[in-house]
Amino acid sequence: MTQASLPGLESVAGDLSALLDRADQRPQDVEKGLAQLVLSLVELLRQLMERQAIRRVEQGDLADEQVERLGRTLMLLERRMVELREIFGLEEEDLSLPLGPLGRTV
Amino acid sequence: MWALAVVDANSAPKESIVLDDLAMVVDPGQIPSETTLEQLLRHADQVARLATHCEAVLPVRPGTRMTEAEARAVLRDRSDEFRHALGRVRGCRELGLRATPPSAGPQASAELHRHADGDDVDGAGQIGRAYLLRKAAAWQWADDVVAAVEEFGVHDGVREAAVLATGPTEVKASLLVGSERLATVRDQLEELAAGIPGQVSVSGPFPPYSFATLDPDGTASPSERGVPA
Repeated sequence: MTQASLPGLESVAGDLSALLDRADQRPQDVEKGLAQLVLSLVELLRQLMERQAIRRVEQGDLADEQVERLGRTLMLLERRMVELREIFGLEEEDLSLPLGPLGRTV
Repeated sequence: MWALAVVDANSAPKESIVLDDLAMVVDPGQIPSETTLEQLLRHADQVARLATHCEAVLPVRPGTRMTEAEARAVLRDRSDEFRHALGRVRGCRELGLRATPPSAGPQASAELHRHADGDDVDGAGQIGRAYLLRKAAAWQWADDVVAAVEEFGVHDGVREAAVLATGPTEVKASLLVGSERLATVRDQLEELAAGIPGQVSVSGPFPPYSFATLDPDGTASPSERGVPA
């Protein structure tokens, strides 16, 4: 798969480039911008994990204990993301990534 | 100066920079060091006024500064793309739909987290499962809203439907609608919104920002932020 077929990555590359352009003028913006980019990618992965976990639960091939552990892990991960967002002064919608025809993550 | 929008030259206001059949509409006003909220509102107002007398408008991303030479270069280098984009939105306006799920969300989430912390031992053994079930329901809700919007996209008068954001806490979509069917389609969209669980609002009509906003970085695509400039 080439980069051209990954609009999310193209967007990240574009945002990184814009960050570098501003690096010598507003360092505090660059720090926050970089945190935003990194957290956006982490949030995307977290959501993918969440959907995958739901699929596995719906398939019914996990024991009750595994379901419980998986759910708790994902719940704690979600909470940690909220804390990280608060540290950097970001809203949920700030972690949105464009995914081409799929729209953006929320 | 501020770049506002690309329009057909034959409908462009006097202060535009014209190159052949295309025109970059500009605001020669003072440029502050930072883009302010006031400037963004002024941009939106100017583009909205343009859209009332131009059949096709490609708004430039708010806060974009260009010299006259840069505007001419953009018009020259991307003329084919702009003509195509103008054709895409000609005679159309945008309607928006924003949906958030039924309000079990934050409260239920806080409750689950409280259980997980062990504050309430009753039922703590099922917290992980409850969390996953709640998330499954939220994702299903989002999938259903997206499916409903895509189905709505085949209505007479709707030229395109685009899902702008999708997730378990919010779905945003926009429709590119021919002006002649605008009122009817908006009524139909309101009906659709009334049937979706949760809080759903319909907005517009407004210029087709979601389908044709020019991005000077050249990194966006039409399905995301519009046509790149």
